[in-house]
Amino acid sequence: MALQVQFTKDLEEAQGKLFGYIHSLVRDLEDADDLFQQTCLILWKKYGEFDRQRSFFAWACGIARLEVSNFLRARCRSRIYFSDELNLLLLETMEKISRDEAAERREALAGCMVKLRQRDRKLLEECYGGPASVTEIAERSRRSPQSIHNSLRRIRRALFECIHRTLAQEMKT
Amino acid sequence: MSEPDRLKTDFSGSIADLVDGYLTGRIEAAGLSELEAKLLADEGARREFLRYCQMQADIGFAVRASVAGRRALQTIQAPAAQAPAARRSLLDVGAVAGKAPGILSEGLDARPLRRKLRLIAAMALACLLAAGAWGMASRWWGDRGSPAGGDRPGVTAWLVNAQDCQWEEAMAPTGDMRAGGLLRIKRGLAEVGFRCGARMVLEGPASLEILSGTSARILCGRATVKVPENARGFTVLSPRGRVVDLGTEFGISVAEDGITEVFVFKGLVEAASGGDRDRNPAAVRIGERQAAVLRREGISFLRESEAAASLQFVRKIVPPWSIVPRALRIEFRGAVDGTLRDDRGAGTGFTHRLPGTGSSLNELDANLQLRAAEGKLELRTTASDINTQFRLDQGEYLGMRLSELGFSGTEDFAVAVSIPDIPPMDFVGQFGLFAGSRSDRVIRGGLISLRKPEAYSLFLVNNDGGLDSDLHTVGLLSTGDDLMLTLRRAGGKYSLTVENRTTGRSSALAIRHPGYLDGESDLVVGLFAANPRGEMRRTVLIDEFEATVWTVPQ
Repeated sequence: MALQVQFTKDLEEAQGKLFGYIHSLVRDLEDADDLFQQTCLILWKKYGEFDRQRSFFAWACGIARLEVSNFLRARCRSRIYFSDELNLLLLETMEKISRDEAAERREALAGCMVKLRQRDRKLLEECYGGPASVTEIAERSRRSPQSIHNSLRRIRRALFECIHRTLAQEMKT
Repeated sequence: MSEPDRLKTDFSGSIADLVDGYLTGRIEAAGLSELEAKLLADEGARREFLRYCQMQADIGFAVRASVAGRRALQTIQAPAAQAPAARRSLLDVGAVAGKAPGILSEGLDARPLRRKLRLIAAMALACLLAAGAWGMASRWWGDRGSPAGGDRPGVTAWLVNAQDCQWEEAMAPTGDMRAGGLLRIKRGLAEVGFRCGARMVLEGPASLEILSGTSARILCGRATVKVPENARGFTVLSPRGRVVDLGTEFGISVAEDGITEVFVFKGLVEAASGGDRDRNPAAVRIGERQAAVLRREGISFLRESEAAASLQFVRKIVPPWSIVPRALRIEFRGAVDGTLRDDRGAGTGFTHRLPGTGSSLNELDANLQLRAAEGKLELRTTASDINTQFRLDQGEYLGMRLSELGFSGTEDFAVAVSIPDIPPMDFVGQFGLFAGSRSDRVIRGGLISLRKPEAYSLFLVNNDGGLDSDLHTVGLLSTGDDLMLTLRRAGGKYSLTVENRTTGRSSALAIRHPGYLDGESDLVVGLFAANPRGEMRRTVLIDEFEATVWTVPQ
């Protein structure tokens, strides 16, 4: 039971960044979802072997990277993914992003999402939580898929900018 | 320059477009090379790239956490919504989901194993929610309506229902399913929905491979497939052939050696034999209520008698019965208007008499007295007997109609009475509980007085036609004991339980099944007291009565 409690604590601290790392390697949120779950199961299975002197996050990312490699190999689609060299560099960079920063950014994102226009919120809702693909959403709203992609890109960029502004303002105050 | 400003500069311009293209899978090979080169060269760009990825994930988290939370709340709230409306004077004991009274089942969630296998992921989600995504989602969704749930882009199929399902290790769906996904169930039922709208009920043991949103391969096991009109063409492959839907519902059974049976419930299918990778297999059409066997060497139709076996397919996952006990409890703590009245006109709480009894008793029944202050009812015996239908116009057989608790002839029920300080009676003096449609179609049981003074035996007896039969007596009790009697029909079988609250012992009796009561929809249940051979009237005290029917809501 103590092991489980400790594992939960470690995972809780690392999971946001771990998911982000997996997502950065496989792009697709669904794939990232599956791989994250798969990685969590492996982490739990191997947790007894984990050396507590090491960083849990680094250990978890190492395992995740292997899982991602296997996944990409199975899909035979590595040509549209990054090289292993870049994956390792991304892992190093990821370790430098603090957990606090990730939490601050998440908090800032929440505030930024509230500020979105109604129709932009609706589009995010449809694309991230709804049942339809971009093509289906485009058909339904009588727009082209490209137009939907453009809107999503604009919204994401706006949110990204908004997060920067929010954090910059907080630093000033 | 502040840190955010510096990073903003690093991430402006074409790199942002490349990152967005990468994350949405719309990047070309040249763009990917350009992005990789930029990221390899600049740590700041890598940092911003990771932040952008993180944001994309966080948006997804916020939306999904909201959806998951809302679903969880709906699940939690569902039982309350299903509770039956309260009825005046009726006590709804509560809703119990299960196949038999008193058995709690998984109820709403018929996917325990899937849940078990996703334990860690759920734990992670719980942590995630605690870490803030939930709060973010709440702020994001505010009081807006729930977004539609269901499949997501890239998903070809998903598990929509399961019952008593035990998955092969590591072969449970860990989420929505994609092409190439494999499901293996050891036992139970799993229903898979495909993107095209087709639904498949898989019956374990079985193995299924998801090929696309419009096709699947059954490696072994049985399944039924229901295909809506707009999904015509849905294809099921097996090791010995393929079945193409032409607007239908069909069952398919694949044996371990690959031999495949097909039975069409509705509509038409086209079946082809041969290996599932044959390009031009021989095809035949199978019509409604026809069955055929697909072998490597060809297809043969089954005779109707052989096809009958195919009707054993499970076509639908039927949820476990939801059993709702409905009960009437009388505690004699006050007069109840509109019920049978005692010698002073106070309503006792009982509403009916067993048909064929008590016809000559006064409206103010001299044999009854409500002692509300003590929470008791006095019932005085009369010289009457169900056996031989002796002077039943004076017989005290009080109770209620079970139909008032939703009984329609098939439900199980129980009737119980608490009797303190049992009095002495003359030989064959008796009291207890009954259930029947009239005085000569009734089962009754309780205590019957022996020749030996102040001694009783337990009894349960049928009466079909006026004379007692199948009498079963057991045990020995003494006057002065406190008893709880329960006459029960469980699983259609009757029994009597006597709990002696003075000695702490209990006994149960059963006799030949009273088939004459089967299907009888208008049963009266209640209590009785009679002293057939004695003119001396005895008083039995009752301090609690309860009848319960386990109904199945429509």
